[in-house]
Amino acid sequence: MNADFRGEEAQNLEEKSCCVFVVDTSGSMSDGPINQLNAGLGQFAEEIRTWDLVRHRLEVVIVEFNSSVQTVLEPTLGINLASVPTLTAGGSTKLVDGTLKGIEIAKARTAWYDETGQPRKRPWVILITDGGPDGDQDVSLLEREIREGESTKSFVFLPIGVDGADMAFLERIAMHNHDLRPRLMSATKFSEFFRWVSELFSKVMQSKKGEKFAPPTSDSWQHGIDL
Amino acid sequence: MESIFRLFRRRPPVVASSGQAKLLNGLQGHGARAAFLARFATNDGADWIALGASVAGRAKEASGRRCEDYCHFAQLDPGVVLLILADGAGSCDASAKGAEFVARFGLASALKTTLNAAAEENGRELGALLQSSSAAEWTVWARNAVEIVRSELLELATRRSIELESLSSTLIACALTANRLFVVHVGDGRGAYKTRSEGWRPLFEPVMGENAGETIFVASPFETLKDFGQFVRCHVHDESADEICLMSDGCEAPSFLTSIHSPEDGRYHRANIPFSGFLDAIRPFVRGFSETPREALAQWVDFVKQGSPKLKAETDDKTLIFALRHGKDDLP
Repeated sequence: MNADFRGEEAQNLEEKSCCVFVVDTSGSMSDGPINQLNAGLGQFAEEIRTWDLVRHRLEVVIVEFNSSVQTVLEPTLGINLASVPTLTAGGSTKLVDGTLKGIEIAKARTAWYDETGQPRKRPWVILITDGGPDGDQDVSLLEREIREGESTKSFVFLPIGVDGADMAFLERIAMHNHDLRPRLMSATKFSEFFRWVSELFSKVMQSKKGEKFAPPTSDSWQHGIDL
Repeated sequence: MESIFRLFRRRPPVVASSGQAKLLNGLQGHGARAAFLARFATNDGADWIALGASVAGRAKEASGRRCEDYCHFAQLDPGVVLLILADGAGSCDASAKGAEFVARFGLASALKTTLNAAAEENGRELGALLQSSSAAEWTVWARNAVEIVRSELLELATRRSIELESLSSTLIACALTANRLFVVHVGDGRGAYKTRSEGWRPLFEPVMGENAGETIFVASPFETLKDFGQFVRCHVHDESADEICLMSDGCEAPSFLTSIHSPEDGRYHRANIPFSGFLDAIRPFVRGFSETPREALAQWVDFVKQGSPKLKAETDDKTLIFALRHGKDDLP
């Protein structure tokens, strides 16, 4: 007995989600950390490009900050992520400017989805840093932006500290949701971290509005936090 | 060549004149939370097969959680059958139970109550009453039935000391006669019917909440039942359909066009267009099913689980009901 289904499938617009990585490429990230970060981003891009669940839905952005801020990867849908730029480390830490840029891009992308009638989820801004901001950075402005984003639900902000990061600073700017508190990562665990990000977005894609959502466990890469 | 449609030749319909529906297989078989295969006849002498299955989506399967959809087949009167599905709200703890109650126990019974009351008042049989009813009359009877179901859900919630809202589910039901289709629905999901002359058309427009992605449920916290009535949508199609399908939103991705891009304004707009490329392929596919009911039902369940790439990849629970009028090409 053989019954083969020979139907076509309708091609519909997929609900989009945008992930903005805001990454520290200051001098302290030289050698080991930057190499691990590049390898992790490359692995993440490959996973997203080939994974059916997310490749047509997840857009990725990369903003780097050191002595200046650069958008090194404009919004790119997973299926089109052939490669990601290789980052180099050097300079100081314009962390606030970089994060504000990431938030600006996330909001602009959301506005574009809404203007064009595309269904979308709240964008994520994931900050990865091994230090704290330069002294001339307007931390209060960043704090206000994140609080406003939290109250208007315009984006999700997740700060990740790498060995040596100023965790007290990250605690200050973090959103209040328990699952979005800052997490400390070993510089040797970027691979595990980016695998976790893939799982995170798998859950994001499968969630429905109003449903409870819990991020996957981060035991594979997270240190405990000693404040 | 074996074919499920040989069932019509193997023995005569259960009742020759108008047909008592025969449930050829039971519920909850073959890895589905609910499944049915029914053979029935409508008053024009046409034979039908109806197949339904509710299965867990990939996300539930991976985590071992239960499917929160439910589907059911019932006969309201000789020649009048009811196809029902309910999609439990994922955010609600007891929604699986709520969906089962609405689909399996609640709606058919409540509709029989309201329709029989109206039939008695009019001195007619239920089938004849429906056949001559107006859309306005159907709306009254169907909404009354859904209000009965909602009251029963409230009693269930009270008995279990849980919030009514925890039993939330959508509802889609279609009562089918020889040449009329009566629809009642709450919330999202899709439905379509096919006629010889017009092809596939939607049975209804899914009801979304005010906010994007929000769903309305039978147990939603509306302040008054009058408000609730606005979200209980009812339709009558005066059509002699050859095929009917009902589905929860887990099955809409491959089978409906749900968004259309407009070159004029550069925007995507919501759409509700049955996709014939998928739906037209169901009949020839089912034609190849085993004539052993248990095997045929297993084949339908397997199709809903993984019969196309999008069905297989779907993370949400899936319910797909298909009713097919026996056509002359269905037997070799």
